[in-house]
Amino acid sequence: MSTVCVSDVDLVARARQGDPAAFGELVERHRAAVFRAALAALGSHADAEDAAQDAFLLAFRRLDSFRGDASFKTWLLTIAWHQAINRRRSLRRAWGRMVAPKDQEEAETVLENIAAAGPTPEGTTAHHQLRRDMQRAIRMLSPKLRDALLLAQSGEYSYDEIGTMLKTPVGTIKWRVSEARRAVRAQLRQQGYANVG
Amino acid sequence: MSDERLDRLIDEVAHEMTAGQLSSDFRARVIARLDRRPRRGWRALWVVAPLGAAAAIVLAVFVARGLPLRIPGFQTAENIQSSQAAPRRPGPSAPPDIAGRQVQPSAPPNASPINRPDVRPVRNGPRTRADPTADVIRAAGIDPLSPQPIQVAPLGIEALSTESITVSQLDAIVPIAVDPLPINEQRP
Repeated sequence: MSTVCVSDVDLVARARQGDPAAFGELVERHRAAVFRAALAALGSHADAEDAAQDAFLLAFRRLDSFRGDASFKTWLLTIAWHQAINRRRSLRRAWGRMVAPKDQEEAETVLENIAAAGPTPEGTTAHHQLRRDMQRAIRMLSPKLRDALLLAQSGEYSYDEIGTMLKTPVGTIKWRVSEARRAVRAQLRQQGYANVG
Repeated sequence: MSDERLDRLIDEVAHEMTAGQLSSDFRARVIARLDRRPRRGWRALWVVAPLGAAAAIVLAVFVARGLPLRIPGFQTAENIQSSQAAPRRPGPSAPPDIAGRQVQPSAPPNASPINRPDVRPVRNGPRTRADPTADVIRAAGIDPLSPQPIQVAPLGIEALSTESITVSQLDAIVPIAVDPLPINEQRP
């Protein structure tokens, strides 16, 4: 049976009846959104893919709890975000035990630097250096500001959906995005980018 | 660089940080994991296992507390009650003294019930003989189950048996005095 023109609600109903193809279609439709949310939380492609898989599996087991009050995408993203945050916390704890830093803040800083460091496809021009430092500055943000900024700029979610995922009012989300941009500008200024801001 | 231009650059960088492609077989791997046993089963195992261990420990404690009741030759409360329910006196056809002796365990004839080597436990009362088995029973907390009349019954049986062997003495036969016949009355 074709699932191209079937709504998410109908697919959920068929998946509840044991139709694996219906749930597979749901996976295909929302995999990008789930993955980007996990990537915003974790910063690693491998961890984000594992978290996305776990999110879909958990959503499948909880299909009966989906009542249709919100869209399936929003409901799924809420599950995915919680899964990603839980994985992030466990990774932080594991990293803290492995490295044994002087304090927990130092461990988080090291973790953020490792997540931010990665191969750049471009060369080492000043502009690209600025982008790398900007990326590192975004990683150095507090989790609340960073999550709001990354989710808002991913292009996959509306502010309402982000508010539902983070269980935060839309106005607070917008304020956090603005505050994140201000903090990044301040961080770049400290790094010597005098002409910035 | 103005703030607006810088903010746009920040948004671009943030967008790049969430960009990425999932593997092409992501959907197939998700569907394949749906058929596997859910992890919750393992979680349930981690929850049930300690409960099972605790239940085993509790059972072991109860069994250990019940061990004194299973010493061979030791009369439990159930055995005492069953023996009490059964007629201690012999059947109506059997002579009471013989049956009474058969009921009694071997004991010296002059032994008092108190000093009789009886396997039955010593209950609360005036008896002062130290009986280790009675102490064990009291420690095990089964004294309330022991019926009091058990202490009385042996006395009753002995008394009956004593009375039963008492033979009333017969009256002595008075000798008949026969006077010898006189000579004149003797026959020729």
